[in-house]
Amino acid sequence: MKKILLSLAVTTAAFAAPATSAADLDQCSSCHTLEAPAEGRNDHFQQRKGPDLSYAGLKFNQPWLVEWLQNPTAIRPSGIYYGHYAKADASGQDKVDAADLPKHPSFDASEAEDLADALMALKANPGGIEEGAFSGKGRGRFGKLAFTKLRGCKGCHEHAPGEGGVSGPELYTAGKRLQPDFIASFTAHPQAIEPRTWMPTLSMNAKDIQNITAFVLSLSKGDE
Amino acid sequence: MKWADAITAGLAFMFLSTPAVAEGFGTQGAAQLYDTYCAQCHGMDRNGKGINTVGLSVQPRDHTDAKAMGDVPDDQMFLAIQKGGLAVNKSILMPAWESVLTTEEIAGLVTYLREVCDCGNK
Repeated sequence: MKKILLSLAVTTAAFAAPATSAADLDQCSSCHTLEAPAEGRNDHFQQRKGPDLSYAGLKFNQPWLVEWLQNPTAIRPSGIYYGHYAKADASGQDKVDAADLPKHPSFDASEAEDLADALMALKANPGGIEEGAFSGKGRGRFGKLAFTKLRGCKGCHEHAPGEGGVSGPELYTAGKRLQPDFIASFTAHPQAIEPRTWMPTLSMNAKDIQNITAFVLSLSKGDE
Repeated sequence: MKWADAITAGLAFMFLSTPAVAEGFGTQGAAQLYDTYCAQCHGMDRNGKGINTVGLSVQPRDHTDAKAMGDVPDDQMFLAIQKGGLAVNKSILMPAWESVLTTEEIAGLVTYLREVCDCGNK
């Protein structure tokens, strides 16, 4: 019964999308994959200009999309692929100058609403994004320990501005940006969702996944 | 050494001692893999100074350091890439890449790292 309702909801959402949705999203397709999950090629991650959006409706929170499309900011501090922007300073240390990063187009409120509606209708699950993946019972305190010390997440992701690695997307706004089930699913099985992406499948148990998801969600609330 | 590690080391030896495999993969392919997955920490110049290393509690290995790299046997290097830093008593910050890279690609990276460090096969 649950599956039937879900199927009905997805179908309804597709029919309920504004008539202009397809045209709206055309402008996105030069930088984003919209229609199918990305192939598992490492050069795809070097060449793409923006994240794959074919499963945007399973990934993002609509209110965040509406807000971000009006005032886009860099989610990946080093750009979509750091290799395009990393430059060694005099000491040989690689750094990325934020001024070098391309700016995402911004839209007015009405356009942002339409685009967000269209994006939320994209639900081509590549496999691995599981409804109910986040139980809601994770303990953020333990998640913080796993994130910052035990599991190495901090090596690539910022959990606060200026704290953590910069090759991956920053996670201090992830709670507003991403659906909890996506965070838990991607943390557990990143390669099932985006084969060959930078994030490897880490050796974590179910509690780790729940705790880290709870921690990441807490970052946007300012209560970590 | 655990049985699983012994099997992995054996596989590593098999791949690394088969010139056709490593050569077939090629330096260019390995360099591209390095740029995609390794350079974020080990640096675009392979010097251990990648964009993620500012403030990192453990600094990544400098792959151009011939002396330090020369002390690491091929099978240990293979294991570190495949199973992560903990598998060779190093940092958790070096993740296991076995879910991303094939055995052949990891062997190709080991061969490539020997070229980067200019420190010969072990």
